[in-house]
Amino acid sequence: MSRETASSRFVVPEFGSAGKLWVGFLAALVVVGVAAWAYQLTTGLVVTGMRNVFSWGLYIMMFVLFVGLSAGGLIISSAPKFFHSHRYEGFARLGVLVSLACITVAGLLILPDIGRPERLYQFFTSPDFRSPMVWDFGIVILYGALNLWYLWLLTRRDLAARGSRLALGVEDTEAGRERDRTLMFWTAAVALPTAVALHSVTGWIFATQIGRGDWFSPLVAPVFIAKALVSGLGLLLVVSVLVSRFTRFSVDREELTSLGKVLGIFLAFHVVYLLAAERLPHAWADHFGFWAITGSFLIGESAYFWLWTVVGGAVPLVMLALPSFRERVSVIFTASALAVFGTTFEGVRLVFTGYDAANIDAAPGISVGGEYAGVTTDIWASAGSYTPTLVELAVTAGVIAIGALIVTFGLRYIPIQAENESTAVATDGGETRGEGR
Amino acid sequence: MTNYGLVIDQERCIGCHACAVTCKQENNVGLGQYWNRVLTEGGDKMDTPAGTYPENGEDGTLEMSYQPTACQHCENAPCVKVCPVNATYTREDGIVEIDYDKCIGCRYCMAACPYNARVFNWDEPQTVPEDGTGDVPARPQGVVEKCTFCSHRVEEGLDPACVVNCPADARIFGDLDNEESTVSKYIKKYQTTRLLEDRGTDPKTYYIRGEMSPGRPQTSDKMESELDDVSVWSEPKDNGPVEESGGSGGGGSHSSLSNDALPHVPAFEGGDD
Amino acid sequence: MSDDRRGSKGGDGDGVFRRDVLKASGAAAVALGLGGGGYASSLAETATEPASRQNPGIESYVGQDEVIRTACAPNCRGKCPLEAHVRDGRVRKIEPQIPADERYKRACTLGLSHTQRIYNATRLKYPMKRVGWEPGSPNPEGRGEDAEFERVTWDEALDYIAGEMERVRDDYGPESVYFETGSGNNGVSGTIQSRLSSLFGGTQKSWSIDINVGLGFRRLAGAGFFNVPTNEVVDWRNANTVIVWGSDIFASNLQQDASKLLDAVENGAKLVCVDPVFTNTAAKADLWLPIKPGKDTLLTLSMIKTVLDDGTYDTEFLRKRTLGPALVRDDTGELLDASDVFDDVTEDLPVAVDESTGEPVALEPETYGEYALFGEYTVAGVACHTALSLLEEHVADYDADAVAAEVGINADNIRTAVRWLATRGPGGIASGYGVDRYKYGHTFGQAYAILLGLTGDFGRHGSIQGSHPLGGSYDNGGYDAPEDGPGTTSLAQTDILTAMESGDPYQLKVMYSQESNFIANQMPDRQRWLEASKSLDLIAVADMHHTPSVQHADIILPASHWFEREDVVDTWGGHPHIMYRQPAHDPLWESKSDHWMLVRLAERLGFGDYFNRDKSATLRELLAHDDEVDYETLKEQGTVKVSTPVVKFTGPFNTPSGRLELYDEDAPTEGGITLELPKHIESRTADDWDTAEDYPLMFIQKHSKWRIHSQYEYQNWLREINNEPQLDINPKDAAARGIEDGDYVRVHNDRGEMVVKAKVNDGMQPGLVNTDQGWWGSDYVRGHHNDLTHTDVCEVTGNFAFYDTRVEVEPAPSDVDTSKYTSNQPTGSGATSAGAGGD
Ligand SMILES: Nc1nc2c(c(=O)[nH]1)N[C@H]1C(S)=C(S)[C@@H](COP(=O)(O)OP(=O)(O)OC[C@H]3O[C@@H](n4cnc5c(=O)[nH]c(N)nc54)[C@H](O)[C@@H]3O)O[C@H]1N2
Ligand SMILES: Nc1nc2c(c(=O)[nH]1)N[C@H]1C(S)=C(S)[C@@H](COP(=O)(O)OP(=O)(O)OC[C@H]3O[C@@H](n4cnc5c(=O)[nH]c(N)nc54)[C@H](O)[C@@H]3O)O[C@H]1N2
Ligand code: SF4
Ligand code: SF4
Ligand code: SF4
Ligand code: SF4
Ligand code: SF4
Ligand SMILES: [Mo]
Repeated sequence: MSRETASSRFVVPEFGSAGKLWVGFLAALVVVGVAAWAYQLTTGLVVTGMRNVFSWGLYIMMFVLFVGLSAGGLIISSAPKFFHSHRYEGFARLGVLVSLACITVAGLLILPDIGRPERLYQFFTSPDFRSPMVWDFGIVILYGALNLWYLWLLTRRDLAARGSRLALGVEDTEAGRERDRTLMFWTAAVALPTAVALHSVTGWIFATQIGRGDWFSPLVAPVFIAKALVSGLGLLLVVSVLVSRFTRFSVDREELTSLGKVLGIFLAFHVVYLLAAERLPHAWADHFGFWAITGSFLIGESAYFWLWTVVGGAVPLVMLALPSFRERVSVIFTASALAVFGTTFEGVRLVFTGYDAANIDAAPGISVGGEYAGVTTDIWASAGSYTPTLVELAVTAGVIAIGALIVTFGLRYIPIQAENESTAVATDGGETRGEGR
Repeated sequence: MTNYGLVIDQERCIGCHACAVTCKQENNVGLGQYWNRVLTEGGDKMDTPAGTYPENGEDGTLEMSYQPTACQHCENAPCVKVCPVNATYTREDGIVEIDYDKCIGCRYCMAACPYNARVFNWDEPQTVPEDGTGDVPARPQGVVEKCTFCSHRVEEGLDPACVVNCPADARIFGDLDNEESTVSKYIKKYQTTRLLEDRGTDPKTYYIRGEMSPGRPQTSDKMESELDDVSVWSEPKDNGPVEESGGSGGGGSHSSLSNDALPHVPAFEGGDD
Repeated sequence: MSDDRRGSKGGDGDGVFRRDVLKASGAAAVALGLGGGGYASSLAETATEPASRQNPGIESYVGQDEVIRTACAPNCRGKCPLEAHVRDGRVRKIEPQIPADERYKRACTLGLSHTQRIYNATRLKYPMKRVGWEPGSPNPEGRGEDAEFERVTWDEALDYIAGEMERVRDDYGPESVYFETGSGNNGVSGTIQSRLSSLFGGTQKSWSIDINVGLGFRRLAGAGFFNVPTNEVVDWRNANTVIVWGSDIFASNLQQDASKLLDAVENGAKLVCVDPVFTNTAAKADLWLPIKPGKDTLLTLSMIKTVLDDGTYDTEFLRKRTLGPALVRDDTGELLDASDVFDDVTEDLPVAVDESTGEPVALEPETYGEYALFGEYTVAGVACHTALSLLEEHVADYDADAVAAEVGINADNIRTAVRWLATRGPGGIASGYGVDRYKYGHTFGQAYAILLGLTGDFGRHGSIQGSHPLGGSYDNGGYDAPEDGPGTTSLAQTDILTAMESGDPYQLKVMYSQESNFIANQMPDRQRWLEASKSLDLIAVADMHHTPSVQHADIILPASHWFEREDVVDTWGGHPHIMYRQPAHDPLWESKSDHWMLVRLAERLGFGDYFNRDKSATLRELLAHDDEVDYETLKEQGTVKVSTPVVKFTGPFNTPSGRLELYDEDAPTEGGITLELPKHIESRTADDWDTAEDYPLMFIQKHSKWRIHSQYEYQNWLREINNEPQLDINPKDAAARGIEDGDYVRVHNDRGEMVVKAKVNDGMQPGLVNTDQGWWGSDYVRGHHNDLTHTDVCEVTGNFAFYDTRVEVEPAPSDVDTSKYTSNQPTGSGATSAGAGGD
C-alpha cells in the first residue's frame, strides 16, 4: 500500500499563510460577487449594461469563454486514455480539475444572466427540446457531472489509500485499480464526444440564429471546438505552470513542451485555417479585384477581432512555432496566456456582431428599456452598444473566483500529482521526485 | 383553422404613432418600452425624408414613409423555437404569445428575433397611473414581453387596440386562413411585402406598398364598450354632480403629494402645486 | 349571447354582437355610398369558428371596466368624443366613442393618451398665492421663473381675486378687469366666463390669430374667419383634386380624420401639397409644390392666369354665382350700379351684359344668364370692363413661367396642379394656417377664393374651400351676454398688449385667465407681453397644469381635468355633434371645474343670482334654448348629432351682391395699396428686407403632432418619442454654419434667442428653419421660440404673423448647459405619476 501512497500526493499538504491569503482573497471575491448578484436580483438586470438592443453581455461572453476553457483538461486527460496511452498522464488529474472548475464557472455564469432564476426548474418541468439552450443546459450538466466522476475515478483509489473521506467508501485494491483503468477507458470514450458536443451545442446557440449578424454560420460550431482546444489547452498549460511554481506539483518539462507544440497546432487550425475558411468566401464573393478581396479578407474588423486573432492567435503561434523558443517554460506560459486572453475576445466579438447593428435600423429605433429617467431622456437606439457595469464585473469575478477555489481546494484535498512507473520512466531525469524533497 | 395576421397599409399610414401609444396603454407597457414602434423610412432621423430638396424648381427626390413595427407573429418563429422552457409559444390561432409565469428571462428569444420586437423588463416597470393602464396586468421585472396581437381582446371578438385606434384606417387584422377576410383579400389584391423575408421567419404581418387600399374603418362593433358585459354609463348616477360634492374634500389626500423636482417646473417651497 | 361572442373572432369575425342600431345606421351609411369599402365588406364577414384558448394565456380585465363617455377638446379640429375606461377608481385607457354618426369615430395620439395627462405630475393640486404678492402691493417684479408660491384655501384665493376686481373697478372702471380665455378647451367655461364678464362690464379679447386668410376669403365669399368653412370631411371622398395649401394636414389639422382624405386619394383623387417643407402631407401627395415662404398669393395669381389662358374656367358657375360678369366702371373702379342703369331698379345690384342680346341686365344672386364674362362695354354712358376682364388684365404678368423662379416651383408643376383642379371635376383647396401666419396672408385668402370661383368649386359634393368643416354648435340663448349687464368690451389681442403697455384705450389692471397659456408661452414677442403684464396688479390663472403662464401668475387656481367634470362640448371645427362629458372620478386633490370657480367668484362679486352652483342645472339651462339638443338625451347618448350642411356655400353668398365677389369694390388698403383684386405684398420674406443680411433665414414654428400648442407637452409617452425642441435645418444651411446634426445651436434675432438641438433635415427648404411651437420655456436649453417672433401686424386683419420672422443660426456657445438633455435624469423625475393613488 505504501507504494500507492508514494505514487500520488497532495500538492498542497496544507494551506500556509500565502495559501490562506489566497483562499481568503478568493472568498472575498466570492462574497462581493454574491452581494453584487443579490443587489442585481433585488434591483433588476437594469444594473447591468445590457438593454433591449444589446440583450446579452458579459455573462454570456464569459459563459462562452469558460465552456471553451473547460475543454482542455478533459481532452488532454481522456484522449490518451482512450488510446491506451500514458502520454500526458501527469496533466490528467489537474486537467480534469481545471475542466471541472471551468464548467462550473460556465454553468454558474448563466444564473446571474437569468431574469428570474427561481424559475430555472422550468428546464425540467417544461423543456422545449427544439431549443439549443435546452440541449446546452443538458450537456453542461452532463459535462460537469462527467468531470466530477472522472476526477473522482482518477483519484479515488489514492484517496482511499490516504483514508480520505472523499473516497466515499471505495477501497484501494489492485483489482479495483485495474477495474478503474477500464472504467477510465470507457469514461474517456464518453468524455470525448461529450466535449465535442458541448462546444458544438454552445456554438449552435448562436449558429442557429438567422436574425443576428455573423451568428448564422455553420462554421460557428467548428470554430467553437477549435477555440475550446486552444483556450482549454492554453489554460491547462497556464495553470500547470502556475501550480508547479506555487505548489509541490511538478510538471514534466518534455510533456509541457510537447503540449506547447500541440497548442501551436490548435492555434494554427483555429485562427489560420478556420478563420480563412470563414472569411475568404465572403471576401471573394463580395469583391472583384484581387487586392479588394485580399483587403477585405485581411482588414476591417473590430478591436475584439484583432485581440482575438493577433494577440491571441498569431503572436502565440509564432512563439510556439520556433522549437528552441518553445522549450522555455516562460514562453509556453506567455503564449498560452495570450491564447486564453485572445480567445476571450472571440466570444466578445461574437456577441457584439449579433447586437451592434439592428436588422431594421430606421429611426427612432428600438426602445432600449430599463430605467426610464424622465421626460427628457432619449429612450431609443438603432444600434447596440454595451459596456459592462461594476455589478457585472463583480458578479463575474465572484463566479470565476469560485472556479479558482475549486482548483485550490482540489490541489489541497485531492491527490493531483499522480506518479506511476510509466511517468517516472519517461522523465529525462532532470528532476527527482519523492517525498523526501 | 384560424390564423391571425395583420396588414398595414403604408400608403395610408401617416406616421402618427397612435398605434404605438395606444398599444402601451392597452397592454400596460412600462415607461421606456415600446412593443410597437413607428419607424421612418427615409432620412436618418424620425420624420425626415431621404433625398435632396428640390431647389429652384428642379424635381425633388425626397421620399418618406412610415413602417410601424411590432412582433410579426412569425409562422416559423425563431423566438418560439429557442425558448428553452416553452414560455413563448404559438397559439392555435397563430398568435405568438408569452407565458409570463414561465419565462425565466434568459432573453434567448430576444437574440433570436430578427425584428427586435421583444423587450425585457430590466427594471420593475413604471407606469402612469402607478397601478397601470389598459386591460392586462403588468408583467414583473425579469421577464420578456412583446406584442400579443392583443390576444385578450381578440378572444372577446375585438380587434387589437392599435387597429381600432389607427386614425388612418391603415391597420387591418384578421384571419389569414379565411379567404373572405379583409386581410386575405387585401393580400391577394394589393402588392404586399413582409419584413426580412429572406430570414425565413414567414411573418404574418404584411405591408402594403404601391397602390393604396381602402383600409378598414374601425367602427361600431369594434369597440370594447359594446361588449355585453361592459357597463357603459348612461343613466345619470344620482349622487349629484361629482365636482360639486364638497369643499376641499375633493380627490387626493395631502399625503398623496409628491414634490418631485420636475425638469420643466421649478420646485416650490411651502406646499405643492 | 355572451358565449356566442366569445366564440366569435376579432378582426374579421363579427356580426354576432353588433348592436342592432349601429348595424342599421352603418348599413344605411353604406347604402348612401358614404361608408368605406372596407366597412361594407366588414359587414359581410361573419364568424366562422371559435378561437380556442391554448395555454394559460394572458389574464385580462376586459369587461371589468366601467366606461365613461367624455370628450377631448383642445383647439385642434378634432373635438373627439371619447370613452374613458375606469377601473378601481382610475382611468385605465381611452378609446374613441362612436358618436351618433358613427363615421365620426375619431381620436389622435394625444387624445388617446389622456391617462398620461390626468395623473401627470405637472397637475396643479391646490390654490396657491405667489409669495410676495399682496392685495394692493402686487410686486410684479417677483413674477417669473423664480417665483415661489404658497398654498391658500379656495376661499382665500377667490376672496383675493374678488377683492382686487372690486378695488380696480372702483379705481379704473370695470373694463380694467380682463377676462382671458384661450383656446385650451371647448366646454362651457368660456360661456360662463363671458357671462360673468358681461355682468361685470369687463374686457375680453377678440382673436388676432388664425384670422388672416379667413378674413381675406370672407371679403369675397361672405364666410371665413378662423380659416374657411368647407364641406364636411365625410364628403371629401367625392373630391377629385385636393390641394392642401399651407397645412400639414395629416399632422396638425386632420390627423384624427386622416382616413377621410386618404379615402379620397384611394378613390382616385389627386393630392397636391403646397408647402415649403416636405411634410407628412407632402410625402403622401401626388404633386408637391415646394413654395418659397410668403409667395402664396403670387403662385395663386399664376394659377388664375393659367385657368384663364386655358379657358378651363366654369362659365356656368361664373355667370350664375359670381361677380365675374359684373361691370366695373373705368372711371371710379366701382361696380356699375343697376339703379344708375335701369329706372325701375332701386336696389344696389351689379350690372352685366347679356351676350345674347347685348343688353345690360341687373345681376341677381343665384341667377344664370348668358352674361358676357369678358369685355369692355359702355353702358348708360359709362365705360366699363367686366370684373373678369380686369382680373385677366391684373394677372397678365403672372404667367407660370414668369413666377416660377420667384415662387421656387417648376412652371409645369404649377400648371399641372391647377389643371387637375380645373379639369378633373369637383375638388378644391384645403388651406391651412401656414399662410395665415405671414403678415399679408389675407391677400392669399382673397386670391384663392377667386381661383375656386373660376373652377366652380363651391357648393357641390366634393368642393373644398378650407379645412374647417365647421362642427356642431348649440343655441345657448344668449347666456354669455345677459341683457341686464353692462356688457363686455372687446379688444383685439394686439390692443390688449398696447392697453397693458400704455393704458390706451384704457388701463387693464386685473387678468383672470383660463384655458390659456398665452401670456408666457403662446404670444409672439413673449418678452414684450411679460414686460407689459407688469402693469397688472393681479394675474389669476386657472389651469390643470403648472404651465409657464401659471408660473407667471399671482393666484393659481387648479382646474379639474376634462374627464373629472361634467360638461357639454360643442365641436367647433370638427364634426356635427354636441358631446357630453360624464366625470370619470372626483377631481383630484383640490382641483375644481372652471364652473365651480367662476360661480363662486360671481357670488363674491354680487352676481350670485345669475349663476347656479349645480353645474347640471347650468348645463340644462344652456341647452334649453336649442331645438336639437336637450340635456337628458345628450346625457343618455353621449353625443347628439346636430344638423349642419354637409355641403357648404350653397345658395346665395353672404355678400352684398349674394355672389362671390371676384372684384371687391369696397376693398381695404394695405400700406396705401388697395385690394380690389389680390396683390402680392410681402413683408420679411422679401429678399431685400432690411434685416435680410443679418438674419438670412426665415423661421416658422409648425404645429406638431406631439402637442396641441402647449398642451400634452408633459406627457411621458409623447416625450419618449419626441423628447426635446429641435431646429429643422437644411443640410446646406447647417454646413454653411458649421453645424452638424445633433449639435446645439443658438437661434437669434434682434428680439431674442433660443438654444435648441439641430435636426438636419433634407425636407427643410434651404433658407428656412423650423421649431415646432408649443414647447414650454423650460424645455429650451435657453430662450423660447416666441422670444423670436414679433407683433408687427397688417392693417387689414391685425393678425399675428408668427412665421414672418427672420433669424440667424449659429453653433451654441460652448458654455450652454445642455445637461437636462445630455445627462441622465434622476430616475422617475418626469415619469412618476402625480401620486393620485391611495386616496
Ligand atoms: N396636432 C396638432 N393639431 C393642431 C394644432 C396643434 O398644435 N397640434 N393646432 C390647431 C390650431 S389652433 C391651428 S391654428 C391649426 C394649424 O394647423 P396648420 O394649418 O397645419 O398650420 P401650421 O402648422 O401653422 O402650418 C401648416 C403648414 O404651413 C407650412 N408653411 C409655412 N410657411 C408657408 C408658406 O409660406 N406657404 C405655404 N403654402 N405653406 C407654409 C408649414 O410648413 C406647415 O407645414 O392646427 C390645429 N390642429
Ligand atoms: N410661435 C408661435 N406661437 C403660436 C402659434 C404658432 O404657430 N407659432 N400658434 C398660435 C395659435 S394658432 C394658437 S390657436 C395659440 C394657442 O394658444 P393657447 O390657447 O394658449 O393654447 P394651449 O396651449 O392649448 O393652452 C391652453 C391652456 O389651457 C389649459 N386648459 C385646458 N383645458 C382647460 C380647462 O378646462 N380649464 C382651464 N382653466 N384651463 C384649461 C391647458 O392646460 C393649457 O395650458 O397659440 C399661438 N401661438
Ligand atoms: S396609428 Fe395608423 S396611421 Fe398612425 S402610425 Fe400607426 S399605422 Fe400609421
Ligand atoms: S417577430 Fe420576433 S418575437 Fe415576433 S414571432 Fe417573429 S421572431 Fe418571434
Ligand atoms: S426570455 Fe423567456 S420567453 Fe424568452 S426565451 Fe427565455 S424563457 Fe423564453
Ligand atoms: S396588436 Fe396589440 S399588442 Fe400588438 S402592437 Fe397592436 S396594440 Fe400592441
Ligand atoms: S387632441 Fe384633438 S384630434 Fe386629438 S383626440 Fe383630442 S380632440 Fe381629437
Ligand atoms: Mo390656432
